Amino acid sequence: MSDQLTIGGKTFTSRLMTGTGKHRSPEDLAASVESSGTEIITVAIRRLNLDDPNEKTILDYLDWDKYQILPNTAGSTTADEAVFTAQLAREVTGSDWIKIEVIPDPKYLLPDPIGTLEASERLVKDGFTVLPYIGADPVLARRLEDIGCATVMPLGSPIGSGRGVLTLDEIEIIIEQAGVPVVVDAGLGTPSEAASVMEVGADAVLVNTAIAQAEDPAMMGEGFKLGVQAGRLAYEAGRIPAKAYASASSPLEGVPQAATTG
Amino acid sequence: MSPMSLPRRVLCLVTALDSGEDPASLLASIKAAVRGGANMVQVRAPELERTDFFNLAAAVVETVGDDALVMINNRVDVALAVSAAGVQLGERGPAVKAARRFRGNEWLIGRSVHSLEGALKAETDLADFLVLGTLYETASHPGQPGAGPGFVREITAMVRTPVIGIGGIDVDRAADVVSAGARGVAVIGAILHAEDPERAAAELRTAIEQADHDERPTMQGAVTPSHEVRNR
Repeated sequence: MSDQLTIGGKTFTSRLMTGTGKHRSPEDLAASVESSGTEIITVAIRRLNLDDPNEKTILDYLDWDKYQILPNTAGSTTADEAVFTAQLAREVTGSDWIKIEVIPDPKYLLPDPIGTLEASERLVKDGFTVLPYIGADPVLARRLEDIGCATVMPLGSPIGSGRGVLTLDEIEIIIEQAGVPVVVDAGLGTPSEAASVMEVGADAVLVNTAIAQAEDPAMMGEGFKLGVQAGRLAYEAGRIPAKAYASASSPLEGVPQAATTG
Repeated sequence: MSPMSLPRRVLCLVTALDSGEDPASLLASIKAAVRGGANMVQVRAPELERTDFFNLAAAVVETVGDDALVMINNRVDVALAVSAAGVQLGERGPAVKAARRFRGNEWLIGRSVHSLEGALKAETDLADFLVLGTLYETASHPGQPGAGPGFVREITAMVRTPVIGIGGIDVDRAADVVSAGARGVAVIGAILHAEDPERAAAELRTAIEQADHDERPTMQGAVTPSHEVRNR
């Protein structure tokens, strides 16, 4: 397929990013990564385990030659924390990609726009490829693009809520204005919801909980792969405009009129 | 990155943020100390929370550049994040082995010790050097007499890992510590509380360079320090 996603100078065939959190087992994770066809996987870099130097981490379970690792700053409540975590992530993973999450509030897990902008600005200057997770705010998205972020990642609904895309109008404005890829991140519960944002022109989606916590994560991974592909095809194909009234599938012109009796 | 090596003589400045002190003035003192001849800076500020400590460490690394080795006290994650030369681990801090896992021999790993047992353990764990204290009475622990340069002699007779003395060392005592077998000294107040930190560092450096240091191995036949064996 020639339709590729380009982020920070790298190209990808898959438009489905996945996460490594909340999986029930490393085997589940590996199986869903495989079935989803994902090429970009986000990993939380919170702390180093110094108690057990031999303990395996998520970094040990996947073959990182095959995937673009996208470390994230989950757990950061301030810009300072996010910058620190990003620097640590770069040293530990060897990748300068970073998904910024600055989240002060544990209940709704909504990102702090000001902290996110500040952290992004500092990290872009420091040579990182920055992918900020944000509320679906078109003005903020523009600001982040202006300072050099590689993508913007507006949320569909709160992280892990599975409530789908509650912000479609704002996401459409972000897509209309963006010169960088728009990745809808968070809240997607089903493949149809992924398809719905891909249909309006999102460049990619990021899905974690909906796959990790599905009864069969591998099957759901494949479902999301197909949903994303379906939505992308629909966007590329160009949908018909929505109209208020019916329009018959079989046109009536030239159809003989039946005789009527008087 | 090639393995870090410890300088032939070490003058280490350990940072201390006095309450209410402006980090900018601390950075200025560090810069002056390095100009004067400090070739190692240990960033230590247990009272700071994680990100404040990270910010301080990053500022020190930026200030010092390649002019001195920057060691981070205990915080392995911060040392990684700021690309420090290594970590200085407190006696009750992370294990040497745990810290070694991240950067192997690219990192210098120092262990603080206060006893022969601690020193022997650190040598077994392949620490690159020991910071041995407390040698003299300090302002932070008044009333506790130091172990003195005899303690340095006692430890260096038993371990081959280089030893850096710490605790109440001034320019007069520095020469005694090095003459007793230490590879160098670590100081706080002797530089940070000096009127002219650059001159204080220069005088300390001269004292340890000129000290009559016995270079012969202290154990017969064992001429190669363990850390150099490992770095091959």
